[in-house]
Amino acid sequence: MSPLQRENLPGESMVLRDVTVLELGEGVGLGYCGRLLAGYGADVIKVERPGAGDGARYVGPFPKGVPHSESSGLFLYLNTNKKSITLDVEKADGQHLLERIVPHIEIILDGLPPGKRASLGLSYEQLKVLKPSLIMTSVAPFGQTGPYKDFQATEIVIWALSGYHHLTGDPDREPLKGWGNQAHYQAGVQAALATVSALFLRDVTGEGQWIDVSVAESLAVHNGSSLQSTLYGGAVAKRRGNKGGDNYPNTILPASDGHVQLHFGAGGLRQVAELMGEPRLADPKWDDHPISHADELDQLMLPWLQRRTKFQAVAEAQAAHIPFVEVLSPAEVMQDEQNQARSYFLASDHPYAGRVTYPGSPVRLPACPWENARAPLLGEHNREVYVDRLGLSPRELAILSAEGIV
Amino acid sequence: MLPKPLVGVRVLDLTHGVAGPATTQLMGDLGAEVIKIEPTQGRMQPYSPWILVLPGKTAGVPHYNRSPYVNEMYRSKLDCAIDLRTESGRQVFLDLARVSDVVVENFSSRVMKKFGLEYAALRAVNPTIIMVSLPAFGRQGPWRDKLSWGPGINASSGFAWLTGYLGGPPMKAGNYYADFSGGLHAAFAAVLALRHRQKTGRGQLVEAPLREAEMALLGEAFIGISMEQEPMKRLGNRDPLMAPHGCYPCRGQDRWAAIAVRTEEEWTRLCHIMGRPGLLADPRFRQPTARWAHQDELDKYITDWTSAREQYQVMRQLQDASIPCGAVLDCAQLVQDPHVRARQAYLTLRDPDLGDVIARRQASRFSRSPMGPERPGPRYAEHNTWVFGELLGLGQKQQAQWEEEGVTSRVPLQSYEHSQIEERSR
Repeated sequence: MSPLQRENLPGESMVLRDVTVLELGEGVGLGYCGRLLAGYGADVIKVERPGAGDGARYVGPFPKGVPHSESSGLFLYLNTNKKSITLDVEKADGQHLLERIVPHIEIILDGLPPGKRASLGLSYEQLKVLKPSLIMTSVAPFGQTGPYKDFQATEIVIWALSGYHHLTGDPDREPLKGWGNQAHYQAGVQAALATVSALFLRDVTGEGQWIDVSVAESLAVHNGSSLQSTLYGGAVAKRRGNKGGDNYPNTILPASDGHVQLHFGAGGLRQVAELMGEPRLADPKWDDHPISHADELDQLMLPWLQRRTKFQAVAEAQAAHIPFVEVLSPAEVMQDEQNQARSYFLASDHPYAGRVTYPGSPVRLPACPWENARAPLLGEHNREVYVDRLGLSPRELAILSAEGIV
Repeated sequence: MLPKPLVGVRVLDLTHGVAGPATTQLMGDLGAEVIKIEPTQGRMQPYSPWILVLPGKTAGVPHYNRSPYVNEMYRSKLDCAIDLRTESGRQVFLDLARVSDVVVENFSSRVMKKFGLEYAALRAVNPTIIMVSLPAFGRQGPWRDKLSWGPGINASSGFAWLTGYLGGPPMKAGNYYADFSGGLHAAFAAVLALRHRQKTGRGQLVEAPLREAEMALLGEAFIGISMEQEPMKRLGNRDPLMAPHGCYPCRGQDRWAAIAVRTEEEWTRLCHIMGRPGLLADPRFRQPTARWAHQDELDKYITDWTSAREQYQVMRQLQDASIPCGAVLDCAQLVQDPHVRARQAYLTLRDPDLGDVIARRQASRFSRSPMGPERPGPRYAEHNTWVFGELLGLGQKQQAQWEEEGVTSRVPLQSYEHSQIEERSR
């Protein structure tokens, strides 16, 4: 049986090329962790349910809005560079097959609900018997322990229980959830950091371990100093809409054609007063606590903004070293000169979705290239993994397929 | 038991603000020896005059050693003060770089060059040094010198444009989203670079631009645009697919519960729990697309039910029926929540000057590497003697001379007016 290893290509960075990862389970966080590892060279094998495949295949967006399980934008983005095999780990025969794979795996990324994994007999201790140096990183909404560990959770439920929901939005109405899947993405990066840290340790000790990542705790990081001001400041931290901090301006206001995020520069309001030619902004009466006068200050700043487009307003402020920034739409972001100059957005061709464009690596390591192969089709690598590398015969594979194991 | 993953790694920390300190906080908690280098003028954090300080256990503890924010962000770090604007200070830093593994900085674009401490200078004394930089938009490109704080990153990434109430303007999330996110990404890049160096012997200058980290978390919005399916912007607490999905008022002031229904089965159970089986037959709500189209009316029924109940009660009832639901907790409730307490997500550390302080544990727990934090944040320049004496082997006389010249200092040489510091009692 040939080992599941890839040859190190000469001259290429070795940062994760010697690592084979099995991605078992679902979720944006788990998937994003796998994307980061795969991007830096790890051989990431994603296990999907036979037939339906990963849930992200059904979320979209889809080319021109037409759903198809092979062209979901979320799936395509999360699963760049990965391989896909199908396997039903809930069936006994599926677990036996998994047991044959694990000895060849360095790292398991696990997204199974804690209760389910326990009932399937796939605990870290049991899997470690098959691979003593195994690193397993588990991502679950509320972690592997605690009274909520088996809670049903979507992104908004995690926002709610993290504290971050309460801190976002306007003070006089319901809290606001941020767009998309931020909590899960945060957990994905936390998991990637923890995984490569455990790998870095294992490189020297030869010993692996199990890592427990909580999505809710990953988002709770962002509560930041609101937690301290609540615990020590005598009053529960309140959401403040777009206003932030005690100094001012720090808010989003409309320009003639869009919005601008305004932030004070080194000289505070005096600098902004000079920029806008509005001396009332420099009145010392604001000094004692500018944020408490925010509405009045906004009224003084609006006329200058309304006479300019967002790009003009920002250009003038930045020339004066004041950090105003345009609120850009995603479409504008994809076209802007900074992203173009840095080739931040990458494209790949997909048999079903066609040419799709999406962010490249979120970090830059000059000595470690970022790979950008397309996401796999469902079970695309069954033959490569089960037959070529694990040593099953094609007939065995066909039978397992027919039985729904694979 | 195993050691912490980054034991044996020494990090020089030149960070300020939120993003950079978040990176070094993570690395310190992961076991790296982090040496925070502060300016001799005083702590760069806090630089807002209205920062919170706590009363000391004894009189006479200076305010810069009584900041809970510093305590949280600087825990697990050593602290020394060096004036990098002086030639001697610059040399001390280079001597430290010679015996360190990583340098982390998040200054705006020209500062390290002004100090004569860019990557080339560091590499000259330590060829395998890893430098980690957290620029706003990137070390290269037309926006290299564009200034931004965290909320400006939310604006320029597309996140603020996408986030907001129905029909409302762009909104930011929380307060420091870009900063903690960028800091986390930089830590990931640092550890990758460390592993790369372990395998190849090569260092490098890595960067984690805050905006590039944040845009990556909006991937499905961008890929959608390339697919000619625009992302749905500013849906408030609604979801592109699920309905009902929202944030519903509960009994009490500013108390809410978040509810999300994914399947027909969950919808059915919810109707029964609310005592509204009739809704199941209502044509407005009979399938997901219909429910989505009639969310305004749907939300009224749910609000009717939740507003008569406590948020935890709503959550328990729905979770008992396997329906996704979470009580929207404020920061005070968070640390008291039964799950958070069972997880021991917040530790109590004993600070010599402040007494008990709360420290947030990191979101990843290792089964065999004990994860702290164990120590509260350091006092200003607390470890000058260790850094200059033990680590660099410099004698008392040299250290004393430098203090006289202002190359190092044991106390800030400048200070905020104390009246501006907001004192709080516990």
